[in-house]
Amino acid sequence: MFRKNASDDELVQKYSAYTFKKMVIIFGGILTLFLLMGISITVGFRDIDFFQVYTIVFEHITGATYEYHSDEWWDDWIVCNTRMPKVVAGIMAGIGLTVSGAAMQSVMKNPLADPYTTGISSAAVFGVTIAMIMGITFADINGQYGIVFNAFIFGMIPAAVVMLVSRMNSISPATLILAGIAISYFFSALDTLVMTMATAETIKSAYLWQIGSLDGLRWVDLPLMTGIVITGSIIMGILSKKLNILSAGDESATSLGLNVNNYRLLCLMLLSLMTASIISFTGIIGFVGLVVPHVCRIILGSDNKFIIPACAVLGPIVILSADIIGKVISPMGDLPMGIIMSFIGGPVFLMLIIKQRREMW
Amino acid sequence: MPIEVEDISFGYHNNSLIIDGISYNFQNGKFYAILGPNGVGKSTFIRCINKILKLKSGTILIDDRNVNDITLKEMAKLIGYVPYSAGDSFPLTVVDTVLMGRHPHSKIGSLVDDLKKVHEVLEQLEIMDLALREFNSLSAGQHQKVMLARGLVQEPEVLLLDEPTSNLDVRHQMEVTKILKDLCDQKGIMVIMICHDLNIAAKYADELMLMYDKKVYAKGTPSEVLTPENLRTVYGVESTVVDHNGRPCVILDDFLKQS
Repeated sequence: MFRKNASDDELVQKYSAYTFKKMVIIFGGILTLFLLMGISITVGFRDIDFFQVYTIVFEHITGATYEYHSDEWWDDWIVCNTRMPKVVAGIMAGIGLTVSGAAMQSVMKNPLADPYTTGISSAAVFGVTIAMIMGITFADINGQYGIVFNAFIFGMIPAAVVMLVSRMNSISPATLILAGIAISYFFSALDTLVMTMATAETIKSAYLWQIGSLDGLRWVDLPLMTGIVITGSIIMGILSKKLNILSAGDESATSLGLNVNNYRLLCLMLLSLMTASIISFTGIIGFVGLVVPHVCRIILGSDNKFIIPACAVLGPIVILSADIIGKVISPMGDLPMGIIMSFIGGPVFLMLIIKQRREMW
Repeated sequence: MPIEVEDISFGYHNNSLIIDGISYNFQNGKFYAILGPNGVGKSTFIRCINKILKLKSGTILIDDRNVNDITLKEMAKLIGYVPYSAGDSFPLTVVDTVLMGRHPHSKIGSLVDDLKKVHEVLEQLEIMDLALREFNSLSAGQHQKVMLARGLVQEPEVLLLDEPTSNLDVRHQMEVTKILKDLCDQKGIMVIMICHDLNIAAKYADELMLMYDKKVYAKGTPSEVLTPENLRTVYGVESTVVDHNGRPCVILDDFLKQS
């Protein structure tokens, strides 16, 4: 009864053309990101030419040496040791938070899910705060590893609660987010409570860390965050088809052969770890995790095999753009990019939603 | 691949069963329609067959294997499921939605073959023109055809369908049910379909299972099941059943006033 059609390849060709268009858009994003990296490095107290940035980086990689404290030495030092780590950290935060947001939205079948609305960010922040202020860590690990481990363990608490709540009958996606927000408030309150016990100096450093900034990040801070974010994002990319199936609902996913609970647990653990590794170094960067996946969906549709890589490109673009604008407006660096992002990104996203003719959800 | 259902029960809470002690033997290549009023457990029953819901008691044997010993992926290769509604979701294209049905079979590099299978099914259901449209932009009837396409590309030996034609007009209801009947006759696939249209069920199904109050009230050929007495008890309606080309045809007269 299934007749073989003469134009059997028609759909294959159409789908290839459709896929190619999306890949071109993502490739365009990669080029834009590459340009923004250069621009971001040029902006600052010392004027460094846009094209000079790429030359300096290239010469640094090829092992060029300069006379100590000469102009070239300073340029090399500022580009490679001061500004580059911030740019790389911004890229990693952009990739990790937006990929986490996109994946969470599919895993929880909820357009409002992101590391913040699920409570994972707040809990991870609390984990870092008690490590910073009270010196309490879950593992006997010193330095950044102990802090990241703390953030991960606390970040897993809301993830576990959300998992348990989702197993109850008749739980709607909106209820899950309400549960996440309730947990978020709980950990924020605990966080404030712990802060009130600290000295003024400690409160200041904890607060400055929490508001979400790339300032002060050094190369030594990056390997752990980069390793976790890149590994997690690649795994999410590999799982993108399964994320599509999970977003179709538990009933459909089970009937298509997917063990929903196992995959949901695996994804939430991985996403909590990614979020914890970023938050431990940058503080809370809201907005990108929730909004960037939706902007990607407006541009590319909702297939996760495009959305995951698109987020990995657009997330860093948004963070670097906010950082550049912040540095241009306030060269002293006292305007954290988290604030810029929400100020400009909020209205832009609102405009996109209003102009959007397709149904987003 | 016969399915033997032996005395199964299911409920979400301890004292509240949704289906209670159902037994039935489903045979290869036959078209079964499950009938019954709203809330008697029809959807719950078919969702127990492919392990979407876990049984409270009883046994289901698929080809003499207990469903508990069959993995979800194996199950998805054997049984295709077409839900009543796709529910809210992020809008994928029709092709991507139907491609999900290939998940139990797909391997690295199998996309071209999977797309060819999707193409065949979309052509069969006459929805090829919707291929690159977003699923959420379609009508309810088109949604049902896409969901059916997703079940068909699973290439299952059994197809479970939860009211697959409820949003379709009369012509498309007949067309889709005829496709299902052809699947039974020509490919030997077993079809188990929940249906509210008694005459569509009578026209195409080999056997009917009439459910009432969490149990099977009557089973057998359409002529055996669709009697005025059964319809009065189960649905609370007065009806006349006439013979039309060897199949019963139900004419509804009135509904019984509730005392």
